[in-house]
Amino acid sequence: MDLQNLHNLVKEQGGCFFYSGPVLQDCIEGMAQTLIQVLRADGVDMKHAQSVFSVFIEMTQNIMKYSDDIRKLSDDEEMMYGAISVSAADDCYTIRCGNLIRKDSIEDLKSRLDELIPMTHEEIRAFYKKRIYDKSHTTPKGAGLGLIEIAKLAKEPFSYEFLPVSDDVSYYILTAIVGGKSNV
Amino acid sequence: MFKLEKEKTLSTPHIVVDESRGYMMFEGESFPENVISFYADITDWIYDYLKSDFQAFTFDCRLVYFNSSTSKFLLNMFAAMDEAAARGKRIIVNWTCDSKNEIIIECAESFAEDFQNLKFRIMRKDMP
Repeated sequence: MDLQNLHNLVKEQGGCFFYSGPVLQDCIEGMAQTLIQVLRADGVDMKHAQSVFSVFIEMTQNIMKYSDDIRKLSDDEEMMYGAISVSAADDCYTIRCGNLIRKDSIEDLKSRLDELIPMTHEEIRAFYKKRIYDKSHTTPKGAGLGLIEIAKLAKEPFSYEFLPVSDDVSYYILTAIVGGKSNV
Repeated sequence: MFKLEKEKTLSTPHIVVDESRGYMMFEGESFPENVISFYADITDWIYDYLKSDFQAFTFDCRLVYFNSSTSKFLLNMFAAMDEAAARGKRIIVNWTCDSKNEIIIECAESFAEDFQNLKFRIMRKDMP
């Protein structure tokens, strides 16, 4: 692991921090605390700090719930792997998450992402409200609100990529830009 | 009578429930790994309680952040409280937050708007 190159790469891209590995609840808690300190050091106002924090939590918890990069710890314990990066530029924060995804899950996720991308902030708010009241969308992992929340908080429509890795697996990356003076 | 206290953690709030006083309080952040299991004991108690014969119930909400799964849990709970209030029960929700916490204030206002049978009081405080 070439740490110096990685350090330089992260720095070049305005990186605040970057993590790739098992995404466990303890890890999310620790990173969340660190992120708060970074936002404090950067002098970000509360509204934007809350937006960055929220997107960060929704993205990391989505990795924890849905990543297909799974390592079994025991019969009922698993570790999900993924990556998260936070970088700052021009009064905005770019938050990006990545994880492996099975090809047969892509179509469903892509349609949910494509549904949100053309929406205005008002439409996203209305969609969120409709979904949160909808009992039929609840699964044991959640109500599928995380992506809508990310769309709601992002300054502009988020973007995504599915990069092929093998015959049955791709690498999914979601990028959201948050904060900045023009954030709704 | 149901009584519960949960200590605050990095991702879950300080919780106090006291059925004998008709009181419930959440304070801190809520983004547990599994919202359903974290709030299971409250969920198991509250839906029956709201159908029972009680005088008044106060929910003191001092959450500074909650994830989308917690939002859904809160919504379901407010819906049940609202139904009870519509049947004549006195249910008060005191929502206290930092006046600069626009995101939480917006959520609170949205809940207040959707559940008009509840006595919803949003208290904005100037915090350092």
